Amino acid sequence: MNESSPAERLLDYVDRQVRWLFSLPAIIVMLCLFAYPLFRLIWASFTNELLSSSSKPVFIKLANFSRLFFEDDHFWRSLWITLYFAVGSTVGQLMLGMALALFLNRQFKGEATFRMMLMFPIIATPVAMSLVWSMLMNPMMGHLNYYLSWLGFGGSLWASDTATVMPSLIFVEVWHWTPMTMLVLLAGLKSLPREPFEAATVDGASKAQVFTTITLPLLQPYIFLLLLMRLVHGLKVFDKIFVISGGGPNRASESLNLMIFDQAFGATNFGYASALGVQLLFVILLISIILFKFRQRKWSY
Amino acid sequence: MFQVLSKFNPKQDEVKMKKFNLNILYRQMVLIFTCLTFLCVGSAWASDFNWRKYEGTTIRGMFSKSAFSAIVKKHIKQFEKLTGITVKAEYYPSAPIRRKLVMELGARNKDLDVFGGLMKTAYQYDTAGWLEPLDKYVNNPALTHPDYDFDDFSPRTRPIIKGRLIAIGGSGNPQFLTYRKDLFQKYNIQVPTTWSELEAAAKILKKNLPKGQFAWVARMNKENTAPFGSFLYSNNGSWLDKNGKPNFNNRQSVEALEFYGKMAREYGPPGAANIGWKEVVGAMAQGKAAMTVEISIFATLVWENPKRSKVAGKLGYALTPAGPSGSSKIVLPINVTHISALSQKKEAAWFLVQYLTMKEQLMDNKLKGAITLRGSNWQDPRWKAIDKLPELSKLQAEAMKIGKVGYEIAISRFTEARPILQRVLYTAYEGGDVQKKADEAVREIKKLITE
Repeated sequence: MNESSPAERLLDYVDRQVRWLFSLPAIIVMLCLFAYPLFRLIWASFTNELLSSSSKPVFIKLANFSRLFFEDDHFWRSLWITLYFAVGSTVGQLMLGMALALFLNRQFKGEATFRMMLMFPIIATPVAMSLVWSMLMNPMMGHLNYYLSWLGFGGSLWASDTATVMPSLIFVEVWHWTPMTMLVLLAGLKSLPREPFEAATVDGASKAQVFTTITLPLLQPYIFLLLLMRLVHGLKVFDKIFVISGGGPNRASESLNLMIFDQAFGATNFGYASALGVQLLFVILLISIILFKFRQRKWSY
Repeated sequence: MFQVLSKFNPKQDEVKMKKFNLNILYRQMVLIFTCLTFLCVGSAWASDFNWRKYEGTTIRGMFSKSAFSAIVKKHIKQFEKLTGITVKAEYYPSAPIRRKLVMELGARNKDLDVFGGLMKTAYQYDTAGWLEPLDKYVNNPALTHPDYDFDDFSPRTRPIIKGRLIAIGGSGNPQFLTYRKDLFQKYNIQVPTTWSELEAAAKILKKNLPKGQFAWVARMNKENTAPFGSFLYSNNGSWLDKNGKPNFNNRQSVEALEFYGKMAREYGPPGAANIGWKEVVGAMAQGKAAMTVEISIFATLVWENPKRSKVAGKLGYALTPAGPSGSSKIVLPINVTHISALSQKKEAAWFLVQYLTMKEQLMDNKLKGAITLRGSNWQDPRWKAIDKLPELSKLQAEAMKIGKVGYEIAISRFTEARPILQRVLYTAYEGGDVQKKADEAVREIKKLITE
C-alpha cells in the first residue's frame, strides 16, 4: 500500500479545495448583486423606512402587509391591472406570433424582406417607441384617430380613458414583442421533424388536425419558454405604462411596478414599497411554479 | 421793556455766540468722525468679503434642465473663474431630479452641496432636515457681497418655511388665463373676469369652433393640482386652514373643484383625463384650444414664438376669473436653489447660490425670457427695450407683488397627498359626488399628517 507523503496530501487537499477559490468571485457577485438586495427588500418590508425622514427605520412587524391587504384598495386593483396586462399581452403575442410563424414557414417571394421588416419593433428603444405611440394615440392631436376618421370609423380615446387604456397598452405591447415570439416559433417550426407531418398527410388528416395534434404538441417546449418569458416580462412592465399613460387616467393603468415606483421615489416610503415588491416577487414566483408544474405533466407528442 | 434792554450786553453775547459756534463745530466734528468711523468699519466689513476665500474647493450641484440651462452653465463657468471654486454640475429633467434628490439625500449623501427645486417639494425636504437655512449667510457681510441686495427680492417670493429662509428663489412662473384674442374678437366675446363669464365664453366658442378645435384645455392628469390652485384661491378656497389642517372639503373649495372638472368635461377635448402640461402646450400652440389657465413661461417660450406656434401674436392674457365666493388671485410657482444641510462645504455652496442669483446673472436670465424675482430686473431699461409682450409683463410684474407662492398643499408628505387630491379632481371631471370624495380625501390627508 502506497503511503503518500504529507506534502503530497497537502497538495492533494489544495487541489480538491481549489474549486472553491475559482468559484469564489462568482459567489461574491451572486451574494452582492442578488442575495443582498433580496434580503434588503424583505427586511425593509418589515420596517417603516421613510427616505425623507431623519429618524431611523423601526421594525413594525407585518404592518405594511396588513395595510396592503386590508387598507389599500388600490393594491388589489393594481394586482388585477398587472395580471390583466401580463395575460392579455402574452396571449396576444403568442396567437399573433404563431399565425405569423405559420405564414412565414413557407417559401414565397420577398419572405426574407418581410421577416426583416417584422423585426423593426424589437429594435426600437422601448421608451422612444412608447413616446411615438403616445403621440399617435393622442385623442386630440394623434394620427390614429385622424386615419380612423378617414376610413369612416369614430375615433377612440385610447390611453386617455379608463375603459380603453388597458387594451391600448396591451395593443402596444403585442405590437412590440410579437416579432420576437414569431421568431422563436418559426425557429421551432423549422426544426420539427418531417416524418409525423408526412405520416399525417398519408393518413388524410386535415390541416386543423395536423396543427392541433402534431404541430402544437411538438412546439410545446418553445411555447412553454415563450409563455414563461412573456408572462414574467408582462408582470414586470414599467416603461410602456410610465410613458404612455403614466398609470392614469385616475390610476386605471397603474400596475404593481408603477405603484412601487410611486411609493418609493414619490412618497419616499421605502418600507411600504418593499412590501409591494415582495408581493410582486411572490406573484412572479407563484406563476413560474405553476407553469413548471404544468410543464412536468406529460403533454408531449 | 427797560428791564429787557438793561439785560442786553453786547460783549457777553459775543462770548456766548462764540461758545455756541464752537459747540456746533464740535458736534459737527463728532458727527463727521462717527460717520467716517462707520464708513471705515463698513468698508472693512465689505472688504472682508472675498470671492476667492474658498479657492481650490470643489462643490457638487444638481440643477433642473430648462430653457435657461445654457445660461446657468455659462454663469457657473464665470463663477469658477471668479472664485477658484470648481463646480461639478449635473442637469436633470424636473421629475427625475426629484427622485434622484430623494435617493441621494435620503441616503444622507454629504457629497451634494447645492440643488435646484420647487417650493412645493421644499416642505418635504425641510421636514427631512435636508435644507440649510440661509438667513445667517445672507446676513453675514463676510459671506455676502455688498452688492447682493437681498431686499431686491420681492418679500412675497422669498422661500420661507417656519420663519427660516430655506432657499433663494431665482425665477417664478405665474399662472394666468391665456385666450385667443382673434377668436374672442371674431365671436364678440369679452375677456372673462368671473367663472360665469368664462363658462359663457366657452359655450360660445364650443358652438362656433370647427371640428377638432376646443374651447378649453387644462391639465387633468397627475399634474392637475397645479393649475387648479388658481381656481381654488380665486374662489376663496384653501387646501389647509390656519392651523395646517386640511379643509378643502369646504363649500368654496368644492365649488372650485366642481367648476374645474366641469370645464374640462364639457368644454375640453376628448380624453381630457390624461392631459398634462405637454398636451396643453401643444394644443394651444397648434391652435387646437382657445383658452387655458397655465404658467406664463409657456407663452414666452412657445406660444408667442412664431417658429414654434401657429398662434403667436394672437393671444391675450388676463387674471384667472374670480369664483362666485372670491376674487381673482395669481398663483406663483417659484424655482429655488437650496443648500444641502448635509453638505460639508456650505460656505462655498452659498457663494455659488449667491452668484447665480445676483442682479446681473438674473438679468441675463430675464433677457432670455425668464420671469425673475428681483424687482430691479423689471425696471432695467435693457429689459424694457426688448419686452415684446408688455401686456403679459405687466401681469407678471404684478404677480411678483401679490402672487401666492404656496399653490400646492403645503404639507411634508405632499407627494403622498397629491394622488389623493388628484382623485378628487378626477371625480369632479367625471361629474361624480365631489363633496363626498373631498370629505374622504380630507380624512385620508389628516391621517397622513398625524401618522
